[in-house]
Amino acid sequence: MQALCWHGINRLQVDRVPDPGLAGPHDAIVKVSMSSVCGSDLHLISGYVPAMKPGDVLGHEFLGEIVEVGSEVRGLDRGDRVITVSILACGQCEPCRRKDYSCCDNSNPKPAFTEWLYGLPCAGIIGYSHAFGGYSGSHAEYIRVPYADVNVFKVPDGVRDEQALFVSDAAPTGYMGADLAGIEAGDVVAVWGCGAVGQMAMRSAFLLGAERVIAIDRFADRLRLAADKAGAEPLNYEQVDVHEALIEMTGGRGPDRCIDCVGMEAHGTGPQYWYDRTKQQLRLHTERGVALRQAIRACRKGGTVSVMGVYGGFMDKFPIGAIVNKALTVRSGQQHGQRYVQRLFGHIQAGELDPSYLLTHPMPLADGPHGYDIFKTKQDDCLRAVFLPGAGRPAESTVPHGVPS
Amino acid sequence: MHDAYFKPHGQPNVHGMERMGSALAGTTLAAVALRRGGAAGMIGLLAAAGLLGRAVTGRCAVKRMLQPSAYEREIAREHGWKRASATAPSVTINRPRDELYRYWRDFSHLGGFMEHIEQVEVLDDTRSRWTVKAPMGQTVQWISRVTEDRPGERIAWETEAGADVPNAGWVEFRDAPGGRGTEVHAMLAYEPPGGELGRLAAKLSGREPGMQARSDLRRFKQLMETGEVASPATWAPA
Repeated sequence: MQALCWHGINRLQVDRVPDPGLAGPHDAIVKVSMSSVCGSDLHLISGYVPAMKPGDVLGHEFLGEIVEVGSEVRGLDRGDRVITVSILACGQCEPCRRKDYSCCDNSNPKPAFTEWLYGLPCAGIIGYSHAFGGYSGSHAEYIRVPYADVNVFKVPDGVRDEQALFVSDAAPTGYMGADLAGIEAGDVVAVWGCGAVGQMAMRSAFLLGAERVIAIDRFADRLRLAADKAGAEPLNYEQVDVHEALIEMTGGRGPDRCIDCVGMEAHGTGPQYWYDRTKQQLRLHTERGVALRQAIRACRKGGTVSVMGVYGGFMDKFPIGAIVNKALTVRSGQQHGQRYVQRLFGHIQAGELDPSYLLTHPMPLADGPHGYDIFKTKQDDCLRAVFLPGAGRPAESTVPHGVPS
Repeated sequence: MHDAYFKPHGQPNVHGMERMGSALAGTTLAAVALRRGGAAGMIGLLAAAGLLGRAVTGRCAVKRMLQPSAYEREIAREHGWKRASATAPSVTINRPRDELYRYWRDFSHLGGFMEHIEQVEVLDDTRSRWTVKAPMGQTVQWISRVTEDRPGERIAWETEAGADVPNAGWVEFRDAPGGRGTEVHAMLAYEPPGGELGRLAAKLSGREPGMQARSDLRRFKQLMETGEVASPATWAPA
């Protein structure tokens, strides 16, 4: 089959690879019809998450059709239209029983790296490097999904493909960001990052009772979407001092809840940003913390900072003093999508949520390297490029295609 | 047991002649390194600092890491071995004690989650023949005998005379607090082949059976909780 593979830092290529088959009794094989790029892939592609090997298939947010199920799979049948939560959960261990699905004890067959780095081994993630299990990704014609009854969800009638696709990752991640923030009626919520996850967090904040939502980014198109589609008040950090603006917009209180949907490759302005960026390039620290530091500094006293952006390692100048002296709550985690999928389908069916506008650039899988290129450099107002493995140009191996760093 | 298993930190472990030797070697190396200069000189100087450090403080972290622990010495004494390499991993499994005990007690199951076991053949109620993968495509064999069997709580075993690699182990099943299933504590020890050199080589290469024990327990957990061992394979193993 055709698959989009990583071949080195900023080098992607469409290859022919063997079709997957059932490897365990709880597996399902899904024929992929749509597979989205995700901001977190950029950290893999650009080499900030180590443990990638040449030939690894990328992609973890997808929609497709079940073509085969293992002998122990109960709730799924051939022909079902499905999405998958890519942070794999076994459903049986104590964290899974607690519904902390992304803390699953069993789904990572290669636990050594995360155990060494984080103290305890972390869950396996589809298409997310050998540190998270080495599972093959979804930018391919077929994919094997383990523990299918726990991680694969049938898409109900009345939910369109391009809506359902994002219920696998962007929507539950954004929703969890808002959920962990502990929003109460009347709260002002600030969201850093207007990518797909940020957009979903903003809409979710309203669904959970926020009175106002403030969106922070630097791209006009994304800020416009945040205003038009999610009902947020846009703030361009290249035009205003974010801290000053937030304090002023909240009558001197600061936002009640701050949600970081940016992560380790944050962009910013001023000397602190360039200090971060230089240190990161010298590999003296792994995170660029502009967005998170801003969130912690702006957050109201006794407020909550919810971190959904992907961070992988260590950050300098982490403002622990602001957390202590303002009595902040910091919450985080990879998405426990399995908690939220049904609720999100419900919101979509009720017309309260429509993630389909995230899909700006559908294209054949053969154009994968180009898709990541325009997504990474935000060309042509690209919010999400989505590959359609069943469609378009015939399978052929393409020459390596550079992604700008 | 655990007090003895964990090697104490910060206790002086370099004494007498060894300590004086370290001081002498450190001083000499520092002098040579300073005269020589350059990159080699820098490295020599760092090594000299290490030697002088262990002479001044009487403590050496490297030696502590490589030395047998008090617990390993105790096990060697207990089993009449020259030396022992031991490990004591633990894992919490969200299943009842009895179920885990029953699965483990049938030693023919061990090959399903212990990576280096080729086969365990059960000979009778207490004896079993183990075939285990060894470095360079070799296999080693032994016959193990159950020495203690407390249903639902503890199984202990050791090899009979004539084992290729004399070894012993036990596993305990304890209720985890808060209804979280069972804490499984295991201990695996063996007499390293190739004497002290063999023990050090195994330790440094990370290949020693003890290092595998924790991943083996993790696979036991996967198997007991989910019914399969996790794998990124895109095909069923042939």
